[in-house]
Amino acid sequence: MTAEISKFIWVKQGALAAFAFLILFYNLIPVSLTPDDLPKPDLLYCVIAAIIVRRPQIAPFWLVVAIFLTLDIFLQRPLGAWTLCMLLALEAVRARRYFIRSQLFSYEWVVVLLIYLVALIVFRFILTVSLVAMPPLSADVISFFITVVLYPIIVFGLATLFGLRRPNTGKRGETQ
Amino acid sequence: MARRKDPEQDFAKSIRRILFGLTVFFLVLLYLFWRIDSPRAEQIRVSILDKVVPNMEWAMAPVTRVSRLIDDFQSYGRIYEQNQELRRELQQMKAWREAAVQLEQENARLLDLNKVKLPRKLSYLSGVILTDAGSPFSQSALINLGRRDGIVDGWAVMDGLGLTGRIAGLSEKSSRVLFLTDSTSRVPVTLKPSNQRAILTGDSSLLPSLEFIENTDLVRPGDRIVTSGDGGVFPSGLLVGQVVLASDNRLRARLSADYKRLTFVRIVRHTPQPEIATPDQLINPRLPNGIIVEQDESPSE
Repeated sequence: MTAEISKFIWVKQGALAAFAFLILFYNLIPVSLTPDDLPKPDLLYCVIAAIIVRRPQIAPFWLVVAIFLTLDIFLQRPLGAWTLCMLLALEAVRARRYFIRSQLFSYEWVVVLLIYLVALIVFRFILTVSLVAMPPLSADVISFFITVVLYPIIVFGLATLFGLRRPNTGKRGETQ
Repeated sequence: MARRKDPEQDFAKSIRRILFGLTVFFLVLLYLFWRIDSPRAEQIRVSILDKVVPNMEWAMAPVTRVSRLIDDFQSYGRIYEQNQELRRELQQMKAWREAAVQLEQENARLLDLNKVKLPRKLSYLSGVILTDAGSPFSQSALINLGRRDGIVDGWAVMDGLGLTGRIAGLSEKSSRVLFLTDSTSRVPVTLKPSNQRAILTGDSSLLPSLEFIENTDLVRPGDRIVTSGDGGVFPSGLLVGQVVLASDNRLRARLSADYKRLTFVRIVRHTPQPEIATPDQLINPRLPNGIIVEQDESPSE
């Protein structure tokens, strides 16, 4: 049984990596070279957090690091800082997954996005302390609110498209 | 919590914990390295992009093409209005052309009188934009010219009309163009009729602000902005844009370069003028050779 699961897990991890690549690709296409009118939401965090709450094996921490570090390199962000914030934030989600599963969805929504907000603040704090030029704060604020709105939609989408649901609380031992 | 105590699982868990700690440590180190030795870290980044991005071009091209096609289709809808507008503009242009011809003749006469020595014509290299920077951290793009094409860091980049940015970051086959809209971009400019100096300061918006203007009363919205050539990075006299008064009551620049439709860019080949290190040489008669280093004299500069 476990062997069967671990065989499929590679496929699912691959799918997650492919999704991250798609996002990177979308960002790199030189369609408009003007500064963005509407800041982009953090789709990747939503997807990975939703996965970690439901099936943490699909997004092990090394995959998270690989994905965010690649994005850091390609998107001209300060190397490592955002990856570090995201890694710690997603580990925080992972540590709380049993408790989150036992609560209502609205609780999950609040916790996951509060952790994201903390990560965002820590990230800006690190950059401020080390005197790095940052994009304006308003962009981050707007992006955060769009992310908040997007999270339930993504969870719903993952559940309907890929059947990614919370494991039954009764079988906790089996599904980890 | 009904969780079994399995020694094998415990072992796996502690291994994972160690790896996790190492990863965090590595990320902190990476960030510190980036912060402390930024040029070298960026060099590494550019060399990675140089390996990967040209290989992705085959995939990028069709998507870009399709999205541009959709844009073009949308513009078909307004073709009649555009036609009318163009007719009107053409009418105005004819008047302007008449004025320009007269000015040209006048200019020719004045030049003849002055015998002004014009700087040698600047030459161009043309490149294609490969990718966008893709994040709000840097307004920049990667182009398909690099060190092997003779590009030098700092050269000015223009579209057909106005200044777009500068080369910042070079590798063998590609290089990065830092746009004027980037928040780290600073370009010394001159505001034309009043000859006020200013620094064009990017702030991630489409209208970079004009800082350090000596006397803002002399500057009007609509004034032309050209590079001043101070600092010797850019040649002087490249068109940048026009002064506008933004809604936050600051003087900003509307750039002449069209960032929305930037596909090809021109890189201005530019070697700075020899610096005048010892001004006394310009006045005194030349001393015998061997005492003073030979220097290029250009009376017009």
